[in-house]
Amino acid sequence: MLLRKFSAPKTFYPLAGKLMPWFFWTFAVLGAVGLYWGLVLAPVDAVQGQAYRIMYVHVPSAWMSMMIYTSMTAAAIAALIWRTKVAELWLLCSPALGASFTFITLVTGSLWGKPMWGAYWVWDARLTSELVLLFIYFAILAMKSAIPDRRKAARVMAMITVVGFVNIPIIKFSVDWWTTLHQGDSIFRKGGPSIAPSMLIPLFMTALSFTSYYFWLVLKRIRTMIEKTENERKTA
Amino acid sequence: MNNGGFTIRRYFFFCLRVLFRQRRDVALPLFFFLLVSSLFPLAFANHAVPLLAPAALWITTLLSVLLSLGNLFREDAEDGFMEQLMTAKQPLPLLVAAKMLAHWVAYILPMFICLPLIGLWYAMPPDTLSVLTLSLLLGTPTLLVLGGLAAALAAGLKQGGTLLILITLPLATPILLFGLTMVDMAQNGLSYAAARDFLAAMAVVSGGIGPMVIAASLRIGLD
Amino acid sequence: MVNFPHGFWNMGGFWMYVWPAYAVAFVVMALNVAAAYWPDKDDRNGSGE
Repeated sequence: MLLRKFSAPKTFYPLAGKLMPWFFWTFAVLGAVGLYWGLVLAPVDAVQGQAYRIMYVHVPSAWMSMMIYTSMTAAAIAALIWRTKVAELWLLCSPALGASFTFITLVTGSLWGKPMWGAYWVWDARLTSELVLLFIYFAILAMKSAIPDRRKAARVMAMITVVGFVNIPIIKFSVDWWTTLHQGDSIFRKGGPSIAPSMLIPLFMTALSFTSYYFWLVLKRIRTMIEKTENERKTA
Repeated sequence: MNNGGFTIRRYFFFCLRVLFRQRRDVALPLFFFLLVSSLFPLAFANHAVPLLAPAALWITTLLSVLLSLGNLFREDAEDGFMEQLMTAKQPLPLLVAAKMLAHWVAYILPMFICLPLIGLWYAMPPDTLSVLTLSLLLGTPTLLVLGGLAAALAAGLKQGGTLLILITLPLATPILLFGLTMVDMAQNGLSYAAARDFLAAMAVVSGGIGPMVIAASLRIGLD
Repeated sequence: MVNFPHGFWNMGGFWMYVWPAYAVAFVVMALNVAAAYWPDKDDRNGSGE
């Protein structure tokens, strides 16, 4: 019952308005502290030198690119089965942010790959599936801009999102499937993290900061869209 | 047709008859397939042909299949026949399956018939050609289902053909890669059973749930 | 503070690789903020891009 209450745009609108500042300040404060810690305070890596500092933007972006897609899939299922309006709005507002983080992941990964492997790009399973994820985001965005009707666009996007979701585990576990140039998971693996806590804590800070950034902007976009729908209804 | 008293099998043959009547249109993707297949060995340096042939053929097939899917649902959507199908007694997924099967027979089967000729162009050893044919046989059903899904979602749209390609290509990447893995392993004298079984499993799964998903997508796309 | 084992201008790739990475991330994220707060007036489904 509670869920149904919050899933109505009318109740969601003020709730989003209340949550937005929290997300903004979490993003700003953790981002600033995490970056200062990661870029200035954290020690130089013994093997990778300064270049490892790309991690503080690359790894959170990669997490976000997958987290946003996962949240979109949940929204897509809700939009397809229950036609939940807020889920549709969530789906309409998310892919641009997801594509942005995927793009950041690819660019920063390339910039990290050059000093580490000597090449900006390798057709390794993980890089390739991240690229494919970007293409899927583009396809979803292309569908969105092709369909003027918002609710229909949302359901078409939902369909593509769910089918494309098969791609997410391929990204996450491709390291295990293919043995390639790409370094293996160094954070979530058996026996705990392999990087020092002084390097790890700022990473979690920037990751939380990016997550808050996403929630902040997706809520802002949803609010804008609800306002627009209201205006259209009044003028119509 | 419009009284709803038709069987799935009759609908399948009806689709085939319609496609046969439009055989000039149906021949276009096949022509594209042959044309592009001839461009690759021409454009590659001669010695690179055997190395790149399977990849070239797989990509050509992928694009030809997508090209053929451009008008899978468009005419039915435009002349209102699709609405009749949606309200027919027969379940829409079965009708979709019949239509896709007719599409496979009309568009994709001819490509397989041309494969020996293309194998000749690429100077492909018979072993490689047969594994390649098998990989395409196992891969095209999934391609057709993925493309059909995109075609259903884009059915009512102006730039449907382009969107169809944009949506399907990223989703079809694994099929392409597994198909090529299969040929690659066979060429290197390894067992290609794992890749073959994977493609076969994908074909079975997409053949099983594909028509239902496409039917649901049609209801969304033509809403 | 930062130690510079390779000298300031070539601190193990800091200027070559690290800051361009952050610059790209900053620009893209700023663009997203702009798109959310100053959306295109005539976009077709009001989602801001």
